[in-house]
Amino acid sequence: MEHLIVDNLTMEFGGLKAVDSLSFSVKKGEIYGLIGPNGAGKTTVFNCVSRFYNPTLGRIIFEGKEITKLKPHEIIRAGISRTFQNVELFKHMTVLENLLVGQVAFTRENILSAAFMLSSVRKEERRIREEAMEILKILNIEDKAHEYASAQPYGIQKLVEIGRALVSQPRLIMLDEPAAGMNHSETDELAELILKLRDELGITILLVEHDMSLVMNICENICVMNFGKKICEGTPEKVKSDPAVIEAYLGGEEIA
Amino acid sequence: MNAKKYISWIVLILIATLIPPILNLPGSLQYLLDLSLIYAIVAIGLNLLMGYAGQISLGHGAFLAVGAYTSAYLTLTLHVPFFIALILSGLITGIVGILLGLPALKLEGNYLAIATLGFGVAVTQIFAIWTSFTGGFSGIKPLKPELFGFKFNSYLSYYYIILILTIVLVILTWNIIRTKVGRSLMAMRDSEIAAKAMGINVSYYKTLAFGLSAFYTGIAGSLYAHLLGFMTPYDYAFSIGMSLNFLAMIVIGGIGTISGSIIGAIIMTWLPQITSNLPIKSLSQIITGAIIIAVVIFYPNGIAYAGARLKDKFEKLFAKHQEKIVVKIEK
Repeated sequence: MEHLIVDNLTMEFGGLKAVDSLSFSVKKGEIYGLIGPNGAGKTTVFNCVSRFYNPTLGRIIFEGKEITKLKPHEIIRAGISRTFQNVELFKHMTVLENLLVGQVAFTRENILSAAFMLSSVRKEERRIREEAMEILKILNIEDKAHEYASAQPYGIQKLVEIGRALVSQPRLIMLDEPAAGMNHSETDELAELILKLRDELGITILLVEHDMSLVMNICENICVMNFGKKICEGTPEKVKSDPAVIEAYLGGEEIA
Repeated sequence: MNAKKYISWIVLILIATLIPPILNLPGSLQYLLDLSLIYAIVAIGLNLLMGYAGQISLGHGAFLAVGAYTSAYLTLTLHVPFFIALILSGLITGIVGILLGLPALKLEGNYLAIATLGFGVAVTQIFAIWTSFTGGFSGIKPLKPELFGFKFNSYLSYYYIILILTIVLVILTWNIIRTKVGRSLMAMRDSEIAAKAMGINVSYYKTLAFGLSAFYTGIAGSLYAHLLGFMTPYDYAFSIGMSLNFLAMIVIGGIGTISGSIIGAIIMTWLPQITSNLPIKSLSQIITGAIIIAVVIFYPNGIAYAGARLKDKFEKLFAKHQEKIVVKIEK
């Protein structure tokens, strides 16, 4: 079943086509990689799906519904959440609070019920705290819950961001270069985590990544972009041996 | 909130309740005490906007004026009872805040500061001309509040109304900031893009922050009007100068803290008074300014954090001392 369909997506900035007639589709429960050299337009695709950009042309369909007209803050309720290339944590909040923010779209509190701390609010607060702690346990960082997000090392910050994206119980999660700045063992742990998210929580994963070994190891299908266009799509084996892909990466250097 | 914090707040409330009658302050000082709590309410409101939501306002003096004149008009002309007028002043000022918040959605940082500054100037000018509402130059005399036949004539009796309202507002604020709305505001302050991705409607929360902040200031405005007994649109508390003072209060006290708002308001109200007793007159302003600069340099996060830092230092000192003792014993 097609979970996410990007159909003929074009994104122009001024005269520049950052994404040019791109089409690909992600199956439910799949780990799908979006790769390509710097400036290929991968993050632009993410920003179109999460509605930060309005595509010039094309449609994005999630679970059979077109989401191209939704506002950025409505995307999480549709079932899609994401992380950012340059970690975008809420710095002056604790790790736990960061995760709680991931829940605001699903909390039925309003300013009056909260101001007077009605029992429904207390109950809801307790529930989202428990759920957030569960996620922190899965990520193995529950001991950091009450520390400030900005005080964490980079690797932990990346995990907190994934955690924040997870608490909303998304059906699709978009990870923008989750391994950037991580060392080998951290990357291995990340790969395990991503597989766990898919296998145990059943989340479809769309991955933008520069770390080729990670992509080749865990992705079932890969779309390779260059200059905003799709140059190849398929399994890691197919992509690895594709001459156009090898050409795109440093003019012929072998990848992974 | 842990038990320790609860106890310290309760102790503070007890002190605030008992000290004034024990000290039996002269009228002018009791007036100042009333005033500092009213300003504390403004500071809490401004801190919600600036410290939690990350928006700036240099027009809170104008919100204070809107609240004050709304309350005066409601009680004097429409004969609305004081407490209803108080709430209505808050709500109406809140609506004005939302209206100011709407164009502010398109503005950020310096531009937002200028826009709110313009709002502050405009309101004072409009109120000066709008004599049927404000009485203009000749001023009006808001009534002393009355409840169940008891007239709150003295500054001391009025102090308790203000104190109770301050406590209620502190509790409501505390509840708001540690639940969904507060988290959304802080998230928006720290990263607008991530806040959006987490489902936070940034436009809504920016507008809400302005409305909420103006609501507090409107309540304070109403309290201010009935404290004064006589007011004109040229009152210093409605001016741009006062708006900057409100800003100074939260910076000195602590951006993004409730206790800091109260501390800042008290310092900024009392400091000029204390230094004004010095023999040379202009020295007062110089010393006030110097103290503000010193606080900003040495406690850039505000005085609310100074306490915590001192405690840390003592604990470290104590730990070192203990270590020495242990070493000596081992020897």
